[in-house]
Amino acid sequence: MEDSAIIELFFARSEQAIRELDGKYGKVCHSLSYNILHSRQDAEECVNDAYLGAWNAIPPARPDPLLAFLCRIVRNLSLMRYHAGKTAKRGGGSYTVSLEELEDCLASPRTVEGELEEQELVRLIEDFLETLSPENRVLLMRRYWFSDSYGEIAARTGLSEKNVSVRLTRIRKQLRHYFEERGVIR
Amino acid sequence: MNAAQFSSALGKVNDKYIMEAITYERKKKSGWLKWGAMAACIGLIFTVTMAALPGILKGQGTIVPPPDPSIPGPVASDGRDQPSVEPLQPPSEPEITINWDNVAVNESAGLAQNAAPLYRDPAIYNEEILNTEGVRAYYGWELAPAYIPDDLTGGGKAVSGRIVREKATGNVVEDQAGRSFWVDFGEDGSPKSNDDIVIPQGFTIRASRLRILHCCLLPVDNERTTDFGGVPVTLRHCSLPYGDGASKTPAGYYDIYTAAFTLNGVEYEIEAQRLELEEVIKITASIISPFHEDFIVGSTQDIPDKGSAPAEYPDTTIVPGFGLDEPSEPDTP
Repeated sequence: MEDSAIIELFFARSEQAIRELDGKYGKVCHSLSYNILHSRQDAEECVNDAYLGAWNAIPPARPDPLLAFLCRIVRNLSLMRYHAGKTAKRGGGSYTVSLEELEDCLASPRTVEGELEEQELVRLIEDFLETLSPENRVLLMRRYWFSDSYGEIAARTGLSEKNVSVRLTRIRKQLRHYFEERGVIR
Repeated sequence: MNAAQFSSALGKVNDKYIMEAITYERKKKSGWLKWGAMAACIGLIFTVTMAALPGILKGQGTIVPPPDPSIPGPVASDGRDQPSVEPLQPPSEPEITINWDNVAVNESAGLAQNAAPLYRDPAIYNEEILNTEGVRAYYGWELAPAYIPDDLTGGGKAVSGRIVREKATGNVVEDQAGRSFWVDFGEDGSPKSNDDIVIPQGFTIRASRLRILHCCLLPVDNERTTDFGGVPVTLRHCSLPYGDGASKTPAGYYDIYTAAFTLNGVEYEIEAQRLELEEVIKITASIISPFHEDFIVGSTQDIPDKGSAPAEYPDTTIVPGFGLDEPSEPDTP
């Protein structure tokens, strides 16, 4: 079913909208949530909460693209649960590992006075994404947005796991350099 | 900023980046590229085989009966030289006999650094490895040009050479020395790149009094001989692909320039990778005439036509002084 038809079902307050949403995007959402929470049960609950969030938001919202909208809700809910420590198996998932990679990349002995507004940081990250090749941009997003493992990224991009690892290391170096140049980290 | 803040901000980037990451599809290799490469390989193998066969066969192409039927190897004969039962019928498929006694095969475990040079039987030849002093004594200098591009150093492996003499006569049958200058070196002294391209920037000078230089079989995209203060220098250029990290697929192309010339009876070859042509010219000029403030690289000499010369080859270039107040090495060839 087309996204527009699903949204029409939401507008019609038909519960079929949730079933169609789950049928079309359920797998992507579960995978995303599981990568963060490393718990099937928690991921299941998060995805169901995301469907409820979509139900409450549409209408009045008419998201386009619907998948990005849904993924964003799933990610936010999963991260909230992750940071709240509700998940029983916290610490074993790809998100934890990717967060550690970022900690190493962004670690700085000195704190920049006057933390950036988040909106400004988002703009800087988007500018950085624009400096990357499409393939490297996908690598960064799959690793740090979707929290995919190296193996999952390799399967998606056709690169070897080793190559994915090497490229991500370079991207993190570029990112650090980019932030240093702009005084975000020192 | 910490990782969690970054992750949170990353979560708010524009939808287009999210959709790009979701919808990205792996690149599929072009079919014609794959088959074209395969066809090129087969063509190359065929060409090399046809060129090598006369040398392999005894009698320059004549049919050689196997010396001993017990010798292993493919046994065949050329049907063209055999009487045909039916004269009007086309000759049968040509058959070729190879005597494996005449086939020299060097065994090598992998592609070791010294796999390329000709094997010299230690019973017949003496091999002498030259250190820096040995190179200076044999060639008259240490192969360090007056001009070395910024960022390049001669660290890592020092200048080295190899001389092979025939034991019976004492004649030198092989002599080659080399020195490299690279942008960076690994712990083992091997050249190392300092950027995202795996190919390191730098150059190597090779020298031989016997005028037998053997290193690499490089393709030649362009070749031209130019006068460098009275010394004809043959400049060659080729562009080669490089891989991207562990990936086997080409990520881009890099330039290799070579400058070959003979000076004071010694044949030199400069091989530069990822350097501008101008730098190669300056290096060459600083070897040929290290104490000239302004050196004129001039008109092209007549050489066999190997295709049109590239536009970037200058007809005349004035190379400025090389900072001769502080030459990197006092010795000159």
